[in-house]
Amino acid sequence: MGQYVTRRLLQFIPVIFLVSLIVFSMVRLIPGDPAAVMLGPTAKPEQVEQMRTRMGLDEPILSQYLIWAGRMAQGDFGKSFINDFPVSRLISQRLPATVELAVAALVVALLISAPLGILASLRQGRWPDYAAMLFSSLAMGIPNFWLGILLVLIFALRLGLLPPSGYISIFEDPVAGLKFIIMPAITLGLYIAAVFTRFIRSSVLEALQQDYVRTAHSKGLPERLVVLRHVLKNAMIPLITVFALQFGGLLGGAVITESIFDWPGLGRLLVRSILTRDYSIVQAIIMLAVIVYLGVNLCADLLYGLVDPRVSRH
Amino acid sequence: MTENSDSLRKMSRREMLRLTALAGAGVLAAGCTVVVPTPAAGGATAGATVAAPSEAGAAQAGGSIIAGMVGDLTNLDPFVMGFNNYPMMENVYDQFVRLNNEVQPSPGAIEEWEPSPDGTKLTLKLRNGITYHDGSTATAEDVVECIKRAGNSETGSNQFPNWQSVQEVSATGNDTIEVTFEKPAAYIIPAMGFISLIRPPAFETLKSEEGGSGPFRVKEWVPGDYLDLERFEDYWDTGLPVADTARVKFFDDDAAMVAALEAGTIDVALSLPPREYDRLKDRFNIVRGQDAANFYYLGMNPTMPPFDKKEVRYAMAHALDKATITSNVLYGISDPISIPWPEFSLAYSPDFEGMYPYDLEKARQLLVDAGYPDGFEFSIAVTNTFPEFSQFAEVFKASLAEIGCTVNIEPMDIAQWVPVLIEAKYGAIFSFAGGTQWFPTRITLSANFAINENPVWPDGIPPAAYVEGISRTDASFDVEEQKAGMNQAVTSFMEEMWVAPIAFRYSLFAQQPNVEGFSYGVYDQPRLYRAVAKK
Repeated sequence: MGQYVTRRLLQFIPVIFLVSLIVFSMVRLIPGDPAAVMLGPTAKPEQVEQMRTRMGLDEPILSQYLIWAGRMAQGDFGKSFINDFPVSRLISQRLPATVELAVAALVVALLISAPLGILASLRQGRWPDYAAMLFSSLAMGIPNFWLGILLVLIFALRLGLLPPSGYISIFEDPVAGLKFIIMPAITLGLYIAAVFTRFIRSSVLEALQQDYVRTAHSKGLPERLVVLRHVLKNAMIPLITVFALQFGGLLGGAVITESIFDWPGLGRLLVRSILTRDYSIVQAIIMLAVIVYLGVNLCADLLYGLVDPRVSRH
Repeated sequence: MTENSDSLRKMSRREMLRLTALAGAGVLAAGCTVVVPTPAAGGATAGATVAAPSEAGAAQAGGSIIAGMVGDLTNLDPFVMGFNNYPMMENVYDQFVRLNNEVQPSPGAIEEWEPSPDGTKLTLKLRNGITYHDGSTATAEDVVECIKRAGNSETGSNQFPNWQSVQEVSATGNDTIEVTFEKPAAYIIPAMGFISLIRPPAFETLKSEEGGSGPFRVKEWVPGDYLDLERFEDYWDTGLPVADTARVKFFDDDAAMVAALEAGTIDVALSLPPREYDRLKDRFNIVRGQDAANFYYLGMNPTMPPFDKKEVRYAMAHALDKATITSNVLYGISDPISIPWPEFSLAYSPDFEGMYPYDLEKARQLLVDAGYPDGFEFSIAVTNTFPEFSQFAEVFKASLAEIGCTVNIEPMDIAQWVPVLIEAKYGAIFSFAGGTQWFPTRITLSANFAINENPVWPDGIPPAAYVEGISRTDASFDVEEQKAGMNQAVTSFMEEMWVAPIAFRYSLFAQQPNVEGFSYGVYDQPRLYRAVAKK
């Protein structure tokens, strides 16, 4: 196991290096000028040029890359071009909100998809199956910005039950935190629930066809025990990968949901930084997203091995 | 005049009268007067007295106020003037003087000021007892450093054009400062309403750390999320701020901001979208901001054919359907204008009204005269940061299509659009500018109105009559001379028509019914220090 982990971690290095080159060059290929954005429409061209010099943007591209890459290797992501805040501080301010929303969205997704998917597979061809698939199709088709606005309109503005926007950490104030997170979590989680429902249904159906299930039935075990003790345990294994992929993706931020609910996550920070050409923040967030994605996939693979002895033997 | 514009104008006038009356009542109570020059718009002469500012009108001290805005602070440098920085500017920093909405100055960090008879020197007296938020005391040397910083093109940001003609500045006593100008600068008194007193050791860290002495201190700024302000207990103007705390909440989306206003999670929405006015006007107190703080315009580039021909520029002006733009895009919040100087400006004259009416037949004939009988094709760059520009462009495109011209609308984000504007890489563009509300020549603060290094004119120099008129006005403190100078400049401006004004751009401030004391500066800077949301 240790050798496997070490080998996988070493494989990260060329991937991260390649991604850093791509991210650095792509960001600078986008037309636009961060110095002009900072000074605004009333600035004179000479002021913009002076600002570019102060920002180091007139240095050779290779120098800029080497300086940035060298600092990044030491954990220093530099400072925002616009407000000089350390990038690591800006990211760490937003990380808790991003993680909380990602986890909440997945919890919502699982709470909806697990019972629906299982029921659909156990009642294949009957109305619970059709209802679950209809839900899945609808949920995948609904644009999340529309859903989010609808939730705000109904629950915040009309009924006054929930705040329309904002953030308080669940760890700081569980009740208030829950009120703030529930609508964005549903907005984000509903689509994921649709994907998970279909996946769980297929996975359970496949497990139900296996010999060990026929053996369990022939031994006289009740349906409930067959499903809980044998079917689900095996059917959920592939879900680990899907879950990890979704979690990794959510950690990169959910821009539309964050904008609607004024959620202070990484997605909004990334978009704003792209619009203002705050290169250091864009580069840092993308690199972080890549590293997290690689890490989450590694964890998923390791978990797979723990759960399924056949995988660990290989 | 549209119904919305009229009701907002009356409301703004009512609000202004209320504030003025309350200020007057406060003066009687305070019994304080200072010697100041007469308003800069009319030229400065020593000896007139104006009442000192008053905190009257504000509610009982304590409580909080929460404002929402779309966007985020650029940084904590008050020299960087832009809508995004306004919520910080007057709340965290003291300006040299305070300007009311009629651009009348009253003492701020500078208690007294006296220009020399020839206008080349300005003597300032620093108010005693100003403490910065870090506990240190403001000195005359600090004022000197601030003026030097403002007059440096690298550090002056938006203050630089107003202070670049400073030849020398020094502290001549414990609290007196003498400023010498290369040439008279008649705008300098109201310009002191925009320059902030900053603690000099903080100059290098102003992007992320404040160095102010204002009524609020920055408690925390989380970029993209909120700015938290708290009462500065040692503020020299006792009674301010009214509230103990203030928060400015940042939104990416104006719909989210409006939802927060409707749900009651913010007390004031800064810059309510005009489309929401009709729906919300009965539930919230919506006031229109400073008259003529900014104006929308169609800018044309005389260095780029075919806009190098006056007939083409006249044709574009005649093809601009301002009535449709103001009613359909701006929802009647403002009215069409012929010149960018408001009626209360000494640059205004009714002679300029209606010079380029919407007339497609005239536009077509002008294009024929210019050698474009079949029209021509050109692009207009627009940005999603100001969505109204796209809508202006659509209206313009529809009109021009009737006379054979093809307009390609090129959407781009702000980082691409600002360089296009600043470097004049356009044939035509929609944008907005300001400055005419506080001194008529300050329209030159925007690059395409500047009298030198102007990117839309060959060699950077606009027409001589315009340059001369602006310079005459800046160089004289005599009102009649200023009027004559501006008449010369505006006549040239209208004759050359490289900019077609459309309408004044107004901010709409939507307040919860329980908000008291909210006001705004000459550039619509929110004055949260006078406001509180009553429980």
